[in-house]
Amino acid sequence: MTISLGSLRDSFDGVIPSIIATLDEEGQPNISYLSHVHYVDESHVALSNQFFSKTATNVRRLGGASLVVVDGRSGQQHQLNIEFVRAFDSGPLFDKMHTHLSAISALHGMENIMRLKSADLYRVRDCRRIEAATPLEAAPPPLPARHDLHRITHLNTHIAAQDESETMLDAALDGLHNDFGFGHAMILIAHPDSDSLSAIAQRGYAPGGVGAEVRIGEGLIGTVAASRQALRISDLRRARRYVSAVALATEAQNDREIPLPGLAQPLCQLAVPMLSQGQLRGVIFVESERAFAFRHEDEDTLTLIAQQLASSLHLCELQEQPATTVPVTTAPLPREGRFRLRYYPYDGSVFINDDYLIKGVPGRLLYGFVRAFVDDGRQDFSNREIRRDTALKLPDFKDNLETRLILLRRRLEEKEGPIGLERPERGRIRLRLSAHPDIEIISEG
Amino acid sequence: MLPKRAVLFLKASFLVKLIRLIGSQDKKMTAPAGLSDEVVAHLTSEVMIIVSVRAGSDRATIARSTGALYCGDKGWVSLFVSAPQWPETVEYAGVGGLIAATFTRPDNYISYQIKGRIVDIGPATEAETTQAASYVENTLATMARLGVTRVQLSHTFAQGQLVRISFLPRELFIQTPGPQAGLKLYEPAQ
Repeated sequence: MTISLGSLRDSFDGVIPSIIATLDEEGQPNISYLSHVHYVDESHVALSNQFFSKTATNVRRLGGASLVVVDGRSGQQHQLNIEFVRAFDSGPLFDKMHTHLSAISALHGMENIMRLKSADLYRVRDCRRIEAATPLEAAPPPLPARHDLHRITHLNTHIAAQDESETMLDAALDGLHNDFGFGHAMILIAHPDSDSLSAIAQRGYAPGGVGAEVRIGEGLIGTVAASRQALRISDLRRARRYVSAVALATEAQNDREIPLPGLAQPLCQLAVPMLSQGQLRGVIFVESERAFAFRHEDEDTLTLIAQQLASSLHLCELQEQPATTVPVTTAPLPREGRFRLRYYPYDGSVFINDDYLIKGVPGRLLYGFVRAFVDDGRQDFSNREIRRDTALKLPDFKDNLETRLILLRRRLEEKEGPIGLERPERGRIRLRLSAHPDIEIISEG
Repeated sequence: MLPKRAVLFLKASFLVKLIRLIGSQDKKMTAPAGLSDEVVAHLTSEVMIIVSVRAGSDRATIARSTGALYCGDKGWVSLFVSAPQWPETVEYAGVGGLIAATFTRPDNYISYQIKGRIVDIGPATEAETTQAASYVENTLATMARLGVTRVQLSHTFAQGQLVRISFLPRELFIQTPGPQAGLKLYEPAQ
């Protein structure tokens, strides 16, 4: 083989469909389009077997096939002479291709049409460049080689050096933004007791969005969370109308949703799972208004950083807080000004003066803090107490207290309302009220 | 997700259209390899065209065609292929050989595959070369509306040294992605 398959990985993204041609028993050619060619290694590719039963029949009988792939950025074409090895209808290769296909199909509104039957593995006998006889445009300059290892090492070392979840999140986002040039980046945290992820930190968007939720399995981020596999969409131009329509349809569906930060016209998106000890801890998402902004190298880079961040956050959660209990300090309730705090126990949602704030565990935590302040004048709480104090009537959760408190505190900061949370020291929370709360509990759902 | 009733309606509409299309093919069965007006209009519009012929014992070639013509009198489909860009297909295409071609609309993915036997090969005439150039410009305009750039298509539409490959259709298949892909609409008259 004269050309490295690894150098053609941009041609396997499915931006421009690939083509496969086979022969039947009479020597009759058959042509099919392919939505996805998967790079396996330097001598193998896998093809998505969806509808092309004739192709499947032909290659299983004869073995050989021709494949043309196109680089979606430069338009360069290559022809591969391939030989069928075997088909997989389950396993890692199938799962990877199924996930990618589902995400791409959803973006084109064809999620119920493009179903993967099998991932077909082929050995590549030969790979040749197809020279353009009359190119329409000059070829874009080749992409420069990347040397990311040093920068990844530097950022991961920096994340690992942090001893608090909050500074880990900031270190990761600052590094992605400043060192790697990801202009729009977001971290979402997964919760073991929830079927959604919550945005906890972002860079490159207008302020806001902390606490915005993405349901697992929905959209690019949700699909990555469900599959625990990285996904990169290089060119959203053809899917843009559909994406816009979906965005319109999902805007502010009810009064308890925080809009997720996002570009109005994204052309390239990448999301990677944050995994630690086999568990999903969250998702890192980046996007760009430039098609082909992210390459395979970015996928690898983000994956390594996501793994470091997930492990560091997890370790931080597991680390037992200092044994000393917080001295019970009391403070009088503010005398000037009043505000209304409406609390819905059934979903933990909290409204401040009819303005939605947050729901779920962070909402329950906040209600518990304010209730304790109103009843006992108490304003200091330790993580250890919060975990164990049944008086707070918190749900039985074990993980993610630290990140949920960060999420709550940042959401309160964004709203700039009468409630604030401070961290006087590690493992401790202090409630600040600038007005007297009138708590209203709404029992019915 | 579409409501169940809407899905059933769409399926029923598709079947009705399919039956009509098959009906229109049946009417043409008596003519030598005739194609319906609907199919002819499709394959001579701004569609992406792929051609394949046999190359050796276990492999088929792939080439992109720069436009198609239909000769109603003879029932031939003619495709234009750039010899320097797709030398293998031009080399292996011979009169009497088997050939396949797909015709895919880029805006809605509606696609047909026609299989047949090559009846004539020769250099494209000046008029045919001009017609191929027109096809390229029209198709580029269609693709631009869909957000595909000239750079992305820079290697796709080759116009140098076009060779005309004419073939007599024997079989017509639906190639549109979905469960009907591969459905045969047409067979040669017995």
